[in-house]
Amino acid sequence: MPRNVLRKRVPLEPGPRRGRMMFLSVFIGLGFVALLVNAWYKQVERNAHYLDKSRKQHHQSVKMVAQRGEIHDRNGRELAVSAMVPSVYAIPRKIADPMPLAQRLAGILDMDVAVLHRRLARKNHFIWLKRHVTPAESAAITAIGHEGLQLRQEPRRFYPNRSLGGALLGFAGIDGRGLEGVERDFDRYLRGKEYEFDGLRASGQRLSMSQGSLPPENLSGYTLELTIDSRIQQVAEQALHAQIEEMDAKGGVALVMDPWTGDILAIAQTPMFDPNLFRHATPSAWRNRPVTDVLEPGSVIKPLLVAAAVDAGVVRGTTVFNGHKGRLKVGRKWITDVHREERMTTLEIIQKSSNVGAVQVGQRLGKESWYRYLRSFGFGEPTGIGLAGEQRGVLRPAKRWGQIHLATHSYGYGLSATALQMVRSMGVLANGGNLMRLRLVKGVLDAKGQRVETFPPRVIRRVVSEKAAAVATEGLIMVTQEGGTGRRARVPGYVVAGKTGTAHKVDPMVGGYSKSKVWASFGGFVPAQNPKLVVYVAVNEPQEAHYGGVVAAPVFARIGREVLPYLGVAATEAIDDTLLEGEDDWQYAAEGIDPQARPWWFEEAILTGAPSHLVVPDFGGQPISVVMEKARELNLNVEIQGTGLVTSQKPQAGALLPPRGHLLVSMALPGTTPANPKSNGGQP
Amino acid sequence: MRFFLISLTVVTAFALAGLRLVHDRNQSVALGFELSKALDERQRLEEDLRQLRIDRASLLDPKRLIPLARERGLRVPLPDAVVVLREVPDAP
Repeated sequence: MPRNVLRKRVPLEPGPRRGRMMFLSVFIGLGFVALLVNAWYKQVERNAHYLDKSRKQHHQSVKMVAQRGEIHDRNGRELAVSAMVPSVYAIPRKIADPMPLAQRLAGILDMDVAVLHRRLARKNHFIWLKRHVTPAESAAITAIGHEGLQLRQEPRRFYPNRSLGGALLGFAGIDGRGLEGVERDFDRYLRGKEYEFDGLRASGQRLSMSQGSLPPENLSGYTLELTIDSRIQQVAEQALHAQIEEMDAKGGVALVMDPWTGDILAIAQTPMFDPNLFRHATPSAWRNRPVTDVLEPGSVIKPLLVAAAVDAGVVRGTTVFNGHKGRLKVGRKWITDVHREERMTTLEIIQKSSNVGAVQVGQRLGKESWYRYLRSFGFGEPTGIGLAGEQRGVLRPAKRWGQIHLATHSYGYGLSATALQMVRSMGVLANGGNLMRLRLVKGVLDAKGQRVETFPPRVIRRVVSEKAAAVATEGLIMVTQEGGTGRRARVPGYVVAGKTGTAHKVDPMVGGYSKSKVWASFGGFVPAQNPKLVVYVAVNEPQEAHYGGVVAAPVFARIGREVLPYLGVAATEAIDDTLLEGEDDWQYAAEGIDPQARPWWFEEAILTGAPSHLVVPDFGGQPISVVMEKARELNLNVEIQGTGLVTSQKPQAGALLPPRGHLLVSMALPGTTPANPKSNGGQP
Repeated sequence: MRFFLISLTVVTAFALAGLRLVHDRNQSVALGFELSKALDERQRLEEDLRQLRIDRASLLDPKRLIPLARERGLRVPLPDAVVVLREVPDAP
């Protein structure tokens, strides 16, 4: 064809050919018009409708809860952290024959066949089989490869220090809600917010996350920074537990506080429990006893009485009282002392823990005044630490007191208080007269570690003058010196100020105070001048001894001995070597701890460690080279029988084997009789 | 004939544009999946990090660590072994 043929205008020939061309052109033209109209209709007129339809086909909105916040101690150490672990669910509609599957799953998931069968036999779209399974279990489920069995990642709460501060921390449930302790009471900070993400659904219904589907960091729960020091907490728990074992006691509490900030550094109790395994403990073990349980303070209240009386100007440290040879009658009741003194000074009343002397101080102070001071020390009102179930204790108004009530209240009977109130009131004497607000949470951090809220220390009120606190402290120091009741509280290298207490418990069976059941306690601070720690210890129903100076004071000493050097507090006194005797072994005696033991999730390898068991692959039909290579990769010991290709194996494919487990494979050349594996295999 | 060729050109252009559109859409979906995989990977790594932190915290559990330290002869220093160089005020 000539090159210029297209450029040359050739008139269309009349006739049938031209008509056909015209018809075709008009037809195509009309087709385009129809297409355009249709496109306009769909793109413009019905735009919203089709967009919506498309979105529904390709996207799926999924509701999620953002990550729960962590709980840290005052040094940033993790006390509670969430991590994702698999859970198994079933799609029963896709399971034609539930029984064989239930039988297989029962072995893997350690569940009852009947329960599994009942769940699998339903005609639901979704049912949980087991939440939070181990890697071995999830690997076995994957190996089954049944379309009706699926895994879903769910957050699980971990408490890496196990029972450390267990009752204080509490625990969160499977749905991520706090159920006990700090987890419950500060849930508003910790809980991640609910959010909705737009997943992209591909063919095969696989849901893929699209950009922006990750939970925005600002939706994650906040991190709580507690005032607890996990090292001090550990010392307090160990010391308390060891003494409770030694004294064959029912339980006890030990609190450590910073007197200048009101920070709770440790809050120990027995019985303890591991919040990772909270279902294994009884609900009574979950209770935060220093917050919810009250006790009569006993003689620990005497230094508070003296401080109040000095502050009110009714006594001085050197004021001399008649000892009445240890017996004083108030109304119809005799008040007695263990030590029968002729006379004693105000400070000696504290040192010798004289009830007779305390009653006389109380009488000088008067019931109205003593009641006001008790209220001012924080008795009869919650401390406001922020934990639910906090008791206010019992402190009746002064107008309902008779003379006997004034007397008993002077040596710590007839009123009750929580351990928190006790440690806070002792803190008043330690810091020179101020009642501090107790602080359990230092601050709140967001997911990026930025501080979003701070709770600064706060002085609630001045209770007594510095001078009055100093006089009471002088008496408290005498308690731990020669002639005092609390010598076992001494800490080598430091001067200790403290007071013993032995309060008989009310026994409903005898309709009064029990002779054998007591709360043995010790409250004090160290170093006596410029204190760093206030410690309150109370032991419930000790059997081996009853006095606070014997039962509770050693716990104070052990805490001080370990914690003061840890805090970098230099010794102020020469070290008395006799106080160091027998100090080495008490920690070991405490709990029978195996130092080599790893947390249970290490054993279960829930986290990142190599799985404790592996799933045996299917070697059927494979040559020896493939078997050996795979076995080396999986760290399996293989025993081979015969030659050729694998015809059978023990254990079967999909079974679980520990690392270095024994695998027996039978091989045979094609067309020959395979060797029969004899061993039952499976275990090394 | 000319009209036919023009029509053919237009149709071809539309067809090519359509193909391009489909190609772009496919690319977009593929990139979406790539992105999704990258985000999944990021999430997996974040999860690994979190789990490693739990492992670390478990290994530092004082109840585990202190007996181990004592077994190796480490002890709490005696109070007179503490030398204060300078008092550091506590953070609020």
